[in-house]
Amino acid sequence: MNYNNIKNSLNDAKTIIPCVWPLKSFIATNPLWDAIDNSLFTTASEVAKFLDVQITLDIKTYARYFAERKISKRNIAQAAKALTAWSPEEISSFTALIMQDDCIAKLAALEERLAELSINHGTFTHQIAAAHNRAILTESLQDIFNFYARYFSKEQFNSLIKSYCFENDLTEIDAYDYIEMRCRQLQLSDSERTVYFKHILASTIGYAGFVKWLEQRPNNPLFKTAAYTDDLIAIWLLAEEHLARQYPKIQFNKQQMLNTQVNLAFKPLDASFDLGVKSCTNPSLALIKFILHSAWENRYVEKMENMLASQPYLHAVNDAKAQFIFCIDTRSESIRRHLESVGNYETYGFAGFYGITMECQSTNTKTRLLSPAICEPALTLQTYKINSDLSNTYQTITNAIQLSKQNGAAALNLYDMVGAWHPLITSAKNLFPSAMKKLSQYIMNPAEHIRLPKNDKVNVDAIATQIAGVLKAIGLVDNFSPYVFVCGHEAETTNNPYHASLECGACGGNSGFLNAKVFCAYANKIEVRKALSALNIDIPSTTTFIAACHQTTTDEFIFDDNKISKNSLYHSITESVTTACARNRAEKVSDTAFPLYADNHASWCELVPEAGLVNNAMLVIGPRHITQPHNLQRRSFLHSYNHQQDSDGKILEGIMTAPMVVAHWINMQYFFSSTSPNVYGSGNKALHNVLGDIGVLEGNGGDMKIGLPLQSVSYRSELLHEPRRLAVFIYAPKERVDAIIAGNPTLQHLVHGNWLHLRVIEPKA
Amino acid sequence: MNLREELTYGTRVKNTIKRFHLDAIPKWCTSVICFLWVTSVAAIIADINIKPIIIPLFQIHGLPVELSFCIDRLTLLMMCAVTMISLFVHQYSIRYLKFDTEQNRFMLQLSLVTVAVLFFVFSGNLLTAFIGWQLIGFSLYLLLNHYHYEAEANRSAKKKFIINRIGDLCFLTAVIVCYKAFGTSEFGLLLQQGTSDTSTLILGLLFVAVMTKTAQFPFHIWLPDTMQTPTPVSALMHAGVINSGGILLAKLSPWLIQNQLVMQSIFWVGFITMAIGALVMRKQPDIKKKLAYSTMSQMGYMIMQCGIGSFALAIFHLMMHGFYKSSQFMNAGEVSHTKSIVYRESNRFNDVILSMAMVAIIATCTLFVMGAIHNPIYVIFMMALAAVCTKTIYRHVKSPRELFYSLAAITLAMLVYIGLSYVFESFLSGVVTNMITVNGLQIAASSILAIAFIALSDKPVSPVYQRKLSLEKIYRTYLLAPFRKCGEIINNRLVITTTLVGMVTLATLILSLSPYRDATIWAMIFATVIGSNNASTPTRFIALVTLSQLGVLALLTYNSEQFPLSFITYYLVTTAAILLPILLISRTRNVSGSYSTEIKNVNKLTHQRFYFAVCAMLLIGAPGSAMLVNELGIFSSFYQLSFTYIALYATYLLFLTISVLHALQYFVFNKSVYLDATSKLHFVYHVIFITAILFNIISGIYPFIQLGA
Repeated sequence: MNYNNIKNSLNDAKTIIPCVWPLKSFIATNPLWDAIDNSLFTTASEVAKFLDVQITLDIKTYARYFAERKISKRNIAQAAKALTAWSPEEISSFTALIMQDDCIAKLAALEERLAELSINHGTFTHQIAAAHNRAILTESLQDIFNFYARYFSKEQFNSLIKSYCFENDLTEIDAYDYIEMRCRQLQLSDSERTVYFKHILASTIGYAGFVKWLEQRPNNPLFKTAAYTDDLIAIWLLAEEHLARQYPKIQFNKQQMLNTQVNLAFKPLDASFDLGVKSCTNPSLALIKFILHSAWENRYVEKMENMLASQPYLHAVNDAKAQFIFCIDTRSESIRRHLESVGNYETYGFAGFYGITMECQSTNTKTRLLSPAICEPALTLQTYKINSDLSNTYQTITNAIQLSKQNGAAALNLYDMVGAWHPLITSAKNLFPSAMKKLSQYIMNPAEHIRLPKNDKVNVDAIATQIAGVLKAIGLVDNFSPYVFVCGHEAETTNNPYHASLECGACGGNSGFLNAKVFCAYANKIEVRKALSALNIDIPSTTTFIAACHQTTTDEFIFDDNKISKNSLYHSITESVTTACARNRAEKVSDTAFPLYADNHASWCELVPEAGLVNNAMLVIGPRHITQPHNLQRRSFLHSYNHQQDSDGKILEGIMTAPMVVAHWINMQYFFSSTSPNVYGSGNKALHNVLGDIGVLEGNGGDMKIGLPLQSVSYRSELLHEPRRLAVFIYAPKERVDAIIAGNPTLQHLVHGNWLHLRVIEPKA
Repeated sequence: MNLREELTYGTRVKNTIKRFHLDAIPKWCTSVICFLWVTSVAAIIADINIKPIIIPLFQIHGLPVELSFCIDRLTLLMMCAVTMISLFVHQYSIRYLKFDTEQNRFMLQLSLVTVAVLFFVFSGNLLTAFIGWQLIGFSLYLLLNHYHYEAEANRSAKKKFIINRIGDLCFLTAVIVCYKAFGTSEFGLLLQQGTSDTSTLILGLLFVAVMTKTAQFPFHIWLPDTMQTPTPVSALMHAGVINSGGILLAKLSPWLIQNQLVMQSIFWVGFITMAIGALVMRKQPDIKKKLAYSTMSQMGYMIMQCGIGSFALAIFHLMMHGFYKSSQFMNAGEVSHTKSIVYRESNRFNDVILSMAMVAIIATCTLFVMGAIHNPIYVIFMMALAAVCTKTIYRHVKSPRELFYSLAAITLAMLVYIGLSYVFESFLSGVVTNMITVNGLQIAASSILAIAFIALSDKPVSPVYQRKLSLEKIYRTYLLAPFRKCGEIINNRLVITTTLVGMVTLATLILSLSPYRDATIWAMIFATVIGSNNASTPTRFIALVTLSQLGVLALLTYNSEQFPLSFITYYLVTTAAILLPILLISRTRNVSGSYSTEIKNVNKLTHQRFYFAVCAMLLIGAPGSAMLVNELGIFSSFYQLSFTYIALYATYLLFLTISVLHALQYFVFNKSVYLDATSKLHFVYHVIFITAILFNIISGIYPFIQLGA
């Protein structure tokens, strides 16, 4: 056993936990991203040993879908064929049996019982707790979590293990030495050790996930300190050794650890269930549910495929009044639809960072990361605000109050002094939230100005290539209108720790406005235009790029048009935009799911300011004309792509490896937050307790929460989000798509491992 | 293409909304609170002063059970503050809990807590205050338990309730002693009693009750753990409920002020709490814990002010703190996007900083010396505030103009504040005593603390030290663990224990060893109640509780010269009427596991569990229950026997509370199999339970027989 062995075990173990981004950049990820080498079901059944992961809804829901004819027997048979190696007879008998009432009743009863039966024997701590008293586990975990919470919120986590030793009066030790020693005491072999580590990490999934992010992103601008997973594991083992000494009678049972299965639904059913499957072992409950789930999804995918393929005409807008480039976000779908209905406008979709990856440093806000999770920032942008005396004074006084509040002696009378004004402030916030929001914005946030990086000549070509990449990808290389609007999007919320989850995911959970501004600033530069024409993109000098911002909570548009001469055309465009926004709002209000969200986003008591990306289910990569006639109900990511301008498939490969993956991550975040809310969801938002800039706790403490809160995906006890895996439709020749998939292992895993559905729609001549 | 078929989630939501056609309840609750607030404002303007309003109910052993209310400036002011905070919280919750399945229940409970606090605020005698006090405890337990399916919520609600229960029992003892010694518990009459050992005892006991309610050291441990409940509850609790201790002290102020021993202990308890709260607060990782410890520190300060006799300022503090703290809680979801403060590193300013800070401090001092408030503790901490503010401003400003503005704003705020406290003091001068007596030690300790906090504000506090200060571990190891261990032993050897206890009891009874008779019965009572704490099934739990209640009954009969037969009958009937139905329900075990298509609402109790919980609550003497009447009767009769009996009986009630709350946790809120969730309750059971509950409540408010003249 040496250093490298342990390192390997650790790296292996880490695959089952997600990468957790801090609150400021709450980026959606697939929580099982590091384990996509296997299919979704295989990975889930592996992870189910350690965590109570679920990839489906409960069985009654499918029974209801069956009754509502959302699943047919044919769908079930197809899904069973795709997911199992059963013979046709077995499949037909399975299909015949599964949807009978008594079978569903039996399975539903089993489902409930399994949840109660499950006992985790994963670690020694769990075993002691199971043998002695369940409360021991809670107490022991609470100690560890409290320790983490203290250190993580203070960003002091450089040598976690040393601090832990100090706090618990232990002699300082090296994490690796200790792990090695402890593993030897427990007599764990290399492979067993990995399993053990997995159990430990699964028990502290929130903090471990955050540490995993820190390890993967040593150069991130948000947290400068480093933390290591081995510290986490060593701390667990230390606490465990201490606990074991208190209960000397209980011995570590290795076999029990190896046999632990936290989610028993992944174990094969016993013989009392006869589902007509004779040739191999009885299927597990999870598999049965997964077959039903896939059947349900397949039906939807089929419908959508038929709908998109039946596209009757090829639409070509010439001389559009203006062109709009939107983010691929599902919320852009409806605003694009309405905008097109208002006038002769062309809309395009591209990931909301518009090829500009940057890190934004500002004078009075913390550094932000304005780029997708999979890219490293290329630019460093400086922003500044021109503060008035009023805002400066306000900030100074706020700081004085903040510091006094933290000082034990000064806080005492401060509460009286400040409290005397608070009835006014509180009632104003309760009664006139929008006015208060505007007032505080007026005082605190004057407009943010950008300062482009100075050194031009070197950058210009690179920037031009980026811009050309964007324009070529969406197929906007000629027929430029006089105005091209590049629209970022942002959300306006108050008092919401999950603010970043409603912002642009491609801009690192920030507003996409800055990226749009930078894009336009460069695209309007004469040097860049020259460089672009060298790349075969001739933008007429009459064309102006204008950055705009779609506020998704209020459905309002902001234009960055201070330096632009406005003619009547421009005014008519802005009017159209206003109309489109109004229509979009009206659609949201009439949609039964939306009145709940839309009344007052600026209010501080609003837990769900907007629906966000609820019900996202598909991604269409192709020209707008295939989706234009359809109302996609804000369920679809739309990425523009013109297969005719991409003979070598490079652009499509780019789209499939970046935006498609990001859409898949967002989709999976919603998927897992609604199917296994206890593991990958962050629980009840009404209980949330913010832990520094890092994450949230639920109530008194415990593990840091990951994923989306219950309120984001459900209303009261109803699930609003229908957890469907992403259905990707690509409008391109099939050979090209196949070639790209064949050349990229990640895509192979995604497509063949059932992580998403991929359908190719052959272009018509 | 029509997507309707696929997109029926909208219709599902519609159905959900339809099901909750009681949507107006939250708004109704808010309107009621709003009305109360408007009333209080009108009453303050009209300067209504009525006291006392006495509603006699009945008598037990010459103990007149009568409700008494008084309306004066203090109570109206407190009503105004409490309803205002409650109104904010109500308004906030309408939206905040829109997504909660049980929003209506939540809002009603929120209003119930407010009403309980108002009941307490308006009380005119100790007995009424006690009933209000208990009502606050019970209603807050419900609110803290809003997500009762979560073990953690349950645990923290239980912890709060038990610690509060210690105070409740002290309060009850004080009430009884007060009646027995002085014949009255009217606040207005008590101040004439002067100082005596009895009054010290009463005030001491009441102060213990205040300590548990306002989270004073060493009873503060419940406060930071109450976050497993929706944010508005924390806002209300930390602003409108926790300060009821301060109100009680203010009501007692004319009497308290005569007793220097109690005043001194009040000051020092407040001082320690304030210091510990402030120390522990600094390094709390999460926002809500930070706010909780801050509340603890502020409550300590409030109690300190009471301890030096500055009751008006204490009331002012608890009101203003309430406004600010509720706002802070409601805003707790805000993640700060601004940079942490970067100090300017200019030496040019350093001298100016110091001198200006000094000037500011001297100015404040002068104001105080000249001005209205002759309260040295207040001056010390005001100076600390001035120092920290000026220091921050000087290190942060960028231009002279900004410097001027900020200084002007802070000075103005301070002046307004001082003016307000002065106005407040004079407003309350007729109602609340304001005689400040401070000794050198108190001033010295406060100054040293203030200086230490300012000087060491950047020094980290060792986490080890912090953990020790929070006392949690100590309670666990030395109090809870032995208690649990005893319960386990008794439970594991149940047959042997019961036989032994029975034989010894029989022997003492037969041999009529009267000196040992009561002792033996006490031993039996305690053994059974401790055993019931760890009972493994509801049946066993009820059996043990019944045994212990029988023990109490035996005590009553053996000391029958103290207890008239009518009272014993009453006790027997009311207790049996609660215990038997519970016994009945804990035996109906039905595990059918039938499949139903309905979506189960985890936040709702089944009928069995609900009845079990209600009966258990009645068993431990919820306000208005017959058990409370029994407690009063037993306490007042034991007073004639010996004070030890009162202490023993109070301890017994505490133990009973603990075991009942554990039983609730294990059998009702946790998903145990004993009170099965799926089986439907027979019609007869409903009748039995509703009768039993109504009987208990009615006989608690108006006993059906004469309980002794």
